[in-house]
Amino acid sequence: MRITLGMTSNLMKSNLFNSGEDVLNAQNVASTGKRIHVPSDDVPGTGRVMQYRSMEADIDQYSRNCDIASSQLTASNAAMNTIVTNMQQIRTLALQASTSTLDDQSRSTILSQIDALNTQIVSAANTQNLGRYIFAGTRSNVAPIAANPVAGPQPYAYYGDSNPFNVQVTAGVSVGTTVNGDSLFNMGGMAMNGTPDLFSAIKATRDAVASGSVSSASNSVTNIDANLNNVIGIRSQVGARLQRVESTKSMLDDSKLRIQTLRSNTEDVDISSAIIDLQTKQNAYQAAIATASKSLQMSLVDYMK
Amino acid sequence: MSLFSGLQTALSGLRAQQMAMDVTSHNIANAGTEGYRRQEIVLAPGTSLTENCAMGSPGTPKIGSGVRVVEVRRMQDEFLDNRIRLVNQQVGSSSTKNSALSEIESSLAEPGASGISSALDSFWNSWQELATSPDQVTAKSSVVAAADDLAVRFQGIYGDLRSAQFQLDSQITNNAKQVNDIAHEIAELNRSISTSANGGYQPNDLIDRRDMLLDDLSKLANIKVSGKSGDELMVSMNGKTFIQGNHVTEVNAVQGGQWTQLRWADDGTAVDPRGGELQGMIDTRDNVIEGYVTKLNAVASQVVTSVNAVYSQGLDSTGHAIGNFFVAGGNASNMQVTPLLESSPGTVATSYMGTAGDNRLAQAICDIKGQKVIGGLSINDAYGALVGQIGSDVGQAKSSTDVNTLSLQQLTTQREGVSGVSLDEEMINTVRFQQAYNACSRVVTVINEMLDTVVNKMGI
Repeated sequence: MRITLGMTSNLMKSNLFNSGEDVLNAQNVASTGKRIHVPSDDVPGTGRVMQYRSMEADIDQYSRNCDIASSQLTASNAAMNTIVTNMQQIRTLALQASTSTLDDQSRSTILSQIDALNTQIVSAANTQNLGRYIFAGTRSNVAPIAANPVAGPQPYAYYGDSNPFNVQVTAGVSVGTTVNGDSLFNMGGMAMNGTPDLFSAIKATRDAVASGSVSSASNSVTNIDANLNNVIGIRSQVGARLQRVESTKSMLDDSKLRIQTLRSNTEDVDISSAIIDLQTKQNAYQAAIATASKSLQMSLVDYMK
Repeated sequence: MSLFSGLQTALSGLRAQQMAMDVTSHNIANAGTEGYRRQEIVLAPGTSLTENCAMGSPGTPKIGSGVRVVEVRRMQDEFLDNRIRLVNQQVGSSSTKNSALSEIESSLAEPGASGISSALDSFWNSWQELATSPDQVTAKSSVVAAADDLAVRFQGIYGDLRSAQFQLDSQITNNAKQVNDIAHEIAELNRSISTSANGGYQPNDLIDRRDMLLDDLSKLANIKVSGKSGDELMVSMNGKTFIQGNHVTEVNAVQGGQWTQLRWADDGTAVDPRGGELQGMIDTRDNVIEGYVTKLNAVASQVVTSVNAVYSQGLDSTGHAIGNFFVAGGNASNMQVTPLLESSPGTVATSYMGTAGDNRLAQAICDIKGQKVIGGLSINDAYGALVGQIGSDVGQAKSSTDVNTLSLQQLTTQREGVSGVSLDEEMINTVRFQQAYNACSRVVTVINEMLDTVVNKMGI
């Protein structure tokens, strides 16, 4: 086959361009640390990376959701602790007062103590956390427990609602983070049909102590007990939910690490192999240049005199 | 035959070797010229004359009368030329597709944090944040901000696709003009070449120029060339002969509908390049990119439709419908949040009934992320599918370009082997012709001496 000047120079040119392009690509990979710059570098890899990024964003959001859910549940727990403690004290005082040998002085002391405890329970009922009344259901901008406009044995009325409030803590899993005041305080017999609500029970007890009637005092303690057990039961449910949220959060942390690793394996390049690759390509380019300079110079013209 | 005819023989040798040297030096001078085909001189023995001294007798020897130049032959392989033109148009077609789509692919910014998929994630998560804290005004502003960001990114990619189409459109117009210019020049050359051919001269350099123009033209469209290389050529595109002899049918770029259409100047029928850069550009503009626009619009309008479908079910605290979240009927080009929510983001609703602490409407919008609403895919996955398609289209165009370029290189190398100038060969030729010239001139000297003997020394 005839070899011409044009052939040699075209071949050299295209080889140098190809080597040069390889060096450029290797430099790009080594300096950015990323294997995939555009989707066509690795189409299925790009799809996976996009999905991993989406999952990571989800996990971050669910983590935040867990934090807020924890905060709400913890606040509910703390408020319920106050209520339980106060109710137990009222109970003790009521029993104390139901002995017939109580003088007026002691009686009035007990009454004022009961009133103070009741006020604390009401304020615990109207606890706010992160700007929301925690026992008001979804009507969280309204204090749930306020004075009953209708006079009668029920001193307080419920101004919240009965709707649930769920927070999504991970894919497909929601946790209720509220306790509705009507269930907690048995407003309108919501939790225990036929039993008066917590505040009515306290009022009845107070009235019984004030009247000095031993039998009605000890009767009213029964209703206080029923409400106390209700609150304790709900508190342990909330405790269980809090644990679930916390274990979900640590699962999310593990998942995030796992997915970050998967994404990095697909998207990032091992830096040492990238450097070695760059070195190899540069060597190849140098060899191409050296060869080109040698072979382009040879011709019969040099040797003919 | 006399001594003088011997001189003529030697003279013919001198002339022929001189012409051979001229051809060789022409080759060497053009060794680096683009598109030059090397020329070879074809020599043949001259017609032989009957030896006079024994007229009529059988077995009379014929003595040759020297050398004559038959022709200066242009070294060309027409089959190779045709094959090269075929591959050339494939390279043109796939390389324009490759460069247009590569630009689009870079503007997607995927995988990464500045693309649409990241904006979609932020949008869904802003609703999650709101669902967890439905009373927070900052969460509501974030939802509107995330929606605005998503709309801006959709519009950005849409704009990139459309501007790529516009660019291709103007390139098509330019290329059509280029086709016309080249066609006119070929027609001119046709005339010059056929005039020379009729006059008995072979205009090798004009034919070289015409072949180069045909190669340029073949890059633009898939052309078929027919006719004798030394005479007029006919060039046709998809069966329509548009260069014939001196006559050219131009390609007109007319504004038809949304984009420029190419029509033949004589009868207005559509031009179908069937290959080459024109084909690559037209196909990319009308089919490939248009397909991407359709899919992008489908994703964007699905976001608008799905979010609105949930959001518009909500009532405010007075029992009135709260309306849409996005302006209805939006797609990638014009998606936006309703002006009401834009101006007062604090009124973003989270509840079906206007209750401040109720998050069920917001939660329902979060759930859209996982729902398979576009052809069995979720919104995020449908967009991912579009990105994947763009990526594989680019990959295909790139590898097609690489394969065709390699093939073109091999064919070009082969053509170089036939038509290229080898300096080594030409050097050897110079030695050859120089020696022959020296020998012929020596013969002249010898015959001169012989004549001298006859004239001056015979019979004195």
